[in-house]
Amino acid sequence: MTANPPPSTPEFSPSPKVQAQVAELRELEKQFPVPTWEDVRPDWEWLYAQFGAPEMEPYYYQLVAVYNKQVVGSDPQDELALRIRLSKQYQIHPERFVVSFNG
Amino acid sequence: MPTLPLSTYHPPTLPRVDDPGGAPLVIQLPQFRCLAQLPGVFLPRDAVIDTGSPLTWMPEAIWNRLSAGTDYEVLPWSSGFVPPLGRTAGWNFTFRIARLLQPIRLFTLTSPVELVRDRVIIQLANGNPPGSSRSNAPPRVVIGLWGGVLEDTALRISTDAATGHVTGALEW
Repeated sequence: MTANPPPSTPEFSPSPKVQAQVAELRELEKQFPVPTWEDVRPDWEWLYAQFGAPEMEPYYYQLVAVYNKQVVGSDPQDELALRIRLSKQYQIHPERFVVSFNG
Repeated sequence: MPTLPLSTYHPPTLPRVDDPGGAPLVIQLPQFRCLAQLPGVFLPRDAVIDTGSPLTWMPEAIWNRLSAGTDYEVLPWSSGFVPPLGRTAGWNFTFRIARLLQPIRLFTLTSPVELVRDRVIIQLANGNPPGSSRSNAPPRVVIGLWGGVLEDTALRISTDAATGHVTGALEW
């Protein structure tokens, strides 16, 4: 008879990809003025009002990014990549984009 | 009694079924959401109230912005304990348990009321939910039952008389 092997401990390790993305975001954040809650609040309000509207159908089950009351980008899963891409494209602070999941 | 009215999310397309007793029935798919201000993250993140989740948890894309030792402390597993996998729809994940060292603040856009909880215990997921399948959970803060956020609150679920939509509020 053999004893049951001891259960292995599931591994937990920070993702190198996420760590690299966070480092890139921190670098981008240094380059642009820091947005305030007053800056982003209108976009949150706009997005909440838009959820459920037919115009949001193309973004169903995707992360959507809003800037100045417009959907300016989407991604099926990667919020950090979305913020990085849009920050470079619009040349503004990555936190300036309101990002939420439409689904 | 402080009341935090939650935002009700509805997807753009709702299923419809034929009700033998009458008109087609629209199946609502509501989610109760709010905004979560986390320590170390200077603008809020989306959060969903999930009474099916035992713990409050967040994916790595969110918690990686927090600083260990300042914003949270990891609570190590007890000696010899083998932790189970965390599970959410379509995704199993390893995780650590941590305590937030700064308050978490839940609020919405329609009310000045805030739910503020300090030293909350949370689950830090290893990685992010895969997003290629529609059954997988998105990256956001999930507010679960235990750990110090929802305890001693009541979730009131009502129907808006004007729209027929489900509405929710946290009371404490």
